[in-house]
Amino acid sequence: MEILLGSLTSGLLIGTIFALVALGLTIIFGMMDIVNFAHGEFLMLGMYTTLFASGAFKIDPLLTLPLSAGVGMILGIVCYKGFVRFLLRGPMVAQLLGTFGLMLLLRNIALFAFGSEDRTISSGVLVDRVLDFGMGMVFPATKLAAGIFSILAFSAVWLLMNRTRTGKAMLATALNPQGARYMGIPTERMNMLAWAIGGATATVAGSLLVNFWSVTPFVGLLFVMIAFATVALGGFGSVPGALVAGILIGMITEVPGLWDFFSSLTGSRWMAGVSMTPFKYTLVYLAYFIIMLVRPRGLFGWKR
Amino acid sequence: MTPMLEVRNLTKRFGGLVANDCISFEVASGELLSVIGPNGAGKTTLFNCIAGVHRTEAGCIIFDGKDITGLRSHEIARMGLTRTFQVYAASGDLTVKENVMVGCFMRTSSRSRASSQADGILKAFQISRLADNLLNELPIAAQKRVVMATAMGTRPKTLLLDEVAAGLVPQEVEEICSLIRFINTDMGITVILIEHMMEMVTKLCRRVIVLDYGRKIAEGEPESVLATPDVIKAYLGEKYAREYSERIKKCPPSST
Amino acid sequence: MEALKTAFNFSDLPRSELIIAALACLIMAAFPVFPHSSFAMSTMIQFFIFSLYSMGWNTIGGYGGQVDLGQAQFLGIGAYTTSIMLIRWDAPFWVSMPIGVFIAVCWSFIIGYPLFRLRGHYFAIASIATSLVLKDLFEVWKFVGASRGLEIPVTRFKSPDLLHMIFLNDTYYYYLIFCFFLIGILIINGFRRSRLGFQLRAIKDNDEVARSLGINVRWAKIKTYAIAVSFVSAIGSFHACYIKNIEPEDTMSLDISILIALMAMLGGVGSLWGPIIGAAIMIPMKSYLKELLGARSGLVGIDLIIYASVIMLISAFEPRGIWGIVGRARRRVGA
Repeated sequence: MEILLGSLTSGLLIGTIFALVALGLTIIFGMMDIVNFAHGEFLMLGMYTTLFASGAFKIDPLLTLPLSAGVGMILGIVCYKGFVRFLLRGPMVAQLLGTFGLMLLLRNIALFAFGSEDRTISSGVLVDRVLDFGMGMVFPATKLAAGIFSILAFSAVWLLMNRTRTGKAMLATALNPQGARYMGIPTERMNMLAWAIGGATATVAGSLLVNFWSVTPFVGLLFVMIAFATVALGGFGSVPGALVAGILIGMITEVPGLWDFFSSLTGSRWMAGVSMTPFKYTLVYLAYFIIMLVRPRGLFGWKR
Repeated sequence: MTPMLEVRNLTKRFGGLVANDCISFEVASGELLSVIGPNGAGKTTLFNCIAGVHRTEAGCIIFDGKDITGLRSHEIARMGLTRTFQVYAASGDLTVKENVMVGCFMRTSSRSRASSQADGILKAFQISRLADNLLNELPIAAQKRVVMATAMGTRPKTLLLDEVAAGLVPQEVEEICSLIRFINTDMGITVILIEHMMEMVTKLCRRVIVLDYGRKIAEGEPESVLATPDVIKAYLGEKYAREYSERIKKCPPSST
Repeated sequence: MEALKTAFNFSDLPRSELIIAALACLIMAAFPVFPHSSFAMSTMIQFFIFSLYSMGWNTIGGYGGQVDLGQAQFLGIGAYTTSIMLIRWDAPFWVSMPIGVFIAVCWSFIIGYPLFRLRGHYFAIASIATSLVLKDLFEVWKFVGASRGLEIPVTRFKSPDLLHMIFLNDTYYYYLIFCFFLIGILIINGFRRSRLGFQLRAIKDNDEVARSLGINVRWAKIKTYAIAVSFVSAIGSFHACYIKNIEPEDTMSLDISILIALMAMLGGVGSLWGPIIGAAIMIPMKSYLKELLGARSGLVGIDLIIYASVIMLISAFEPRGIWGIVGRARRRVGA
């Protein structure tokens, strides 16, 4: 029982981060129908930003969040203005391959600049501290902080999208770009804003991960695929969907661990000795596939 | 004689909106029928339902003696019921002749036969010289011809034409009319038109069906139907309908 | 019979194009005779291999407009089938290759039926997902050598071994893949002139209209998918015999799927020569970049940076590909 709850909370926490990553992706997709393969690389760059900033200034990684968000915003805007907007008028093949190229570019620039070794940091106030609620619900403080900040970031974006004029303008542009233009909404600026938010949420998510996920230039692909699954489950373009789906996907990644545990407990010979844990993320890819077949609109999606 | 097409109590809903409400009518083999009505009356939806694009909530459709309710659109097309589209976006990769060949390929799997059939159809439609042009390079009248030629490639028993005259000038409308007459009279193909151009409807068809807000409100010969107050009200509104019926009472129209 | 005649019929292409193509074939046939480096030879062989991959992709991705970014899984199926059958049972290539194709086609039916309910981005991502799932599977499956992969023991065979497709001298590989290359062109030519080819192009144009003309869209896509995966799987089998050392990261990665699609896009999707032109540009470029830049330890990743930039430039500014440019120029002059 404790193991179950422990898994659930673990899944919940990591799920909030998945949700944050998915948030940026879903906003960009909702806005301009572009699937941003490079999204995971933004996350990766956020990780490196925090790595270097907290190392250089000797501060807690959490304090580097504003810097990370700034980097993310600039990165998003630069990518949009410098490249993505040219993709918008092309065929879909070009859009897919284009952001894929951007992904490769960012990944290999990072590889060239930072080298390929794994790096970890374990610094800051919260490391090695743990919050224990009993019954197996153990929250390592770093992960808990990550989860809390994720939710904060999420709420900030949600407020922006739903309670401000800018947010409404963005929604209008997403629903009908042409019409929005007629209403005097500067759609170019809305697109840029979407990328700024997308970039920032991804880099912040990366920064939150730094204390418990090793930093390499190659984390991008995994996270972007997880983000796709999350966005698909939540519904392309839906902000609350991203949160719910993120948490669900987070829990899904805990399933193989639980499975291994239970099968070792009961001594079952299912899977003939192969552990399911390497398939943590494979399960996520499968989940994407199944979601798209059963309910392509996702839980809350409005864009099909 | 069994009718070519029988529609019984067809009902189609989109959420809360009833697009087609209990529509029934018959079309005899070789007939030229027109479906008219104001915009939003449900004419294209009706075509979509008959052609298998939409699933209907109620009613049945019998084509050539067989029940086609619920069949998918490509199956219905293969049975001999072909429809054209009012507007459609195309990625524009196919030339005119290739377009017509796609139609012909429904009936044959041999490229050479499809090619020669397409040549024949292009000639009959007098667009042979356009054979190698891309569809989006052509003016609207020519595009409409290509669309009809492609539909003819499928050798249909019944053709559903959705506003083929839209956007055409009177001369082009004339040409389309003679084409339709040729298809119907000389080739014996049953034709159902959705049209807004009343001159075309009255000239071509001996029977029209009028839809308004999803319901069939009138059926019969064009002149008499068009003089029905309900029909006038649907198109022009209550005020004109009243005015018109008063004028009719004072001075009945002379027969043409 | 008619299908064969159609395949050999290039009459609808302009004569200038055919003359250039014929000349190019002659040059390629003569290539091994002239002095060349082994690097150039291996690049040429890679060129033929990848242009065949891309030609296969082009049927469903180019003519059909369904951007599939998961073809690498079928490459893997072909490569692994042949490798396993060769290593364990000394199976001849000419037996293991068709078996690989058979498995690949079966798999394509299994995933294709649900997959083709999706379109556009959703389809693309789903294709990536299935490919990654398979790759992850292969990375832990002991039967296929897990992440270490498989190695074909060359010493077991006496080269030149045509039955098992093991040669020490690359020239044999060259002529064999060149023959496959010519056959591939004929098959694609037959495809684009066939009923299925036309159906696919109509579907790409507007699938609602295609349905109204009696085309069973889902089935047409599945059939075409089978053709595409047959190409990729068959040549994957050859690829394994050539490289003799396969592992999931090399043969089934997302990068390969992307490269296959990219070559077709660069050369011009939906055209006969497009994928070949794309391969002719990308493969030498990748090879020489890797040689020149990748090997030096200080410049890790620069070749890939250049590669990525090329992808971005093409996507942003000339997505219709080289053949698209040619086509447009022709229309302006001819019409």
